[in-house]
Amino acid sequence: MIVLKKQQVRTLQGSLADPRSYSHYLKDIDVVYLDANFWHYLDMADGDFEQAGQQYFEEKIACVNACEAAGVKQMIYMALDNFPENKYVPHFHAKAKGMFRLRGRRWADIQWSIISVQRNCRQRCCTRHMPTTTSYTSTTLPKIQQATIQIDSS
Amino acid sequence: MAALDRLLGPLNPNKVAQTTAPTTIRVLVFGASDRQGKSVAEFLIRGGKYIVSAIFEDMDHEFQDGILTTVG
Repeated sequence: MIVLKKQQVRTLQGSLADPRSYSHYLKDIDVVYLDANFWHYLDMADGDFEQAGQQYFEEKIACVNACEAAGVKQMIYMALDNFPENKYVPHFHAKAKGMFRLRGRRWADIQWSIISVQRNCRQRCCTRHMPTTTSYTSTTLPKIQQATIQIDSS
Repeated sequence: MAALDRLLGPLNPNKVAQTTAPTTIRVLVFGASDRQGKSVAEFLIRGGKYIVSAIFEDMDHEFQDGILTTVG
């Protein structure tokens, strides 16, 4: 955070888990860039991918609603495309679920963009971003490796 | 100061600057505690066209490179 402060980025305290903690900041904002760390949610859910994905999805949608209510003019939502059902990867699924919800909703005056990794980028992206050595617990790590294997075989 | 403003009228350089300066866009970045969000905030602030804010859950957060948790 100090790195950003030195570059004159205004640092504010808030949590995606609680829209009341950041909604007052939104009144002065034109554009919101919305991303969150899936792995943080996985940590909080003790390695339960389903629970992590659901929490991730709900918090992001709550943020979108707060932005719309506050009159934010533009949103940028970071997503990943989903895999077919037989290649279910929770990290991708949680992001894609939010993307589909946003695509399907009716918007007031807010402009929005979804930035998503394309299909042909997946393998390179994920094999680079999912190293075999992590700071995760032994119960979580095999699941991540399993997801990586599924991606590699696609 | 007000008297000076009145005297200069429409030629007041401050007023000219206000009307001709590009609108500054205010951006709020969620996820700046991770590598991706951080780089977005840095990129925008470097451009000089944006007022960038970033939300942190932990105000004592320090960036760590090279571990899985920094990629979201």
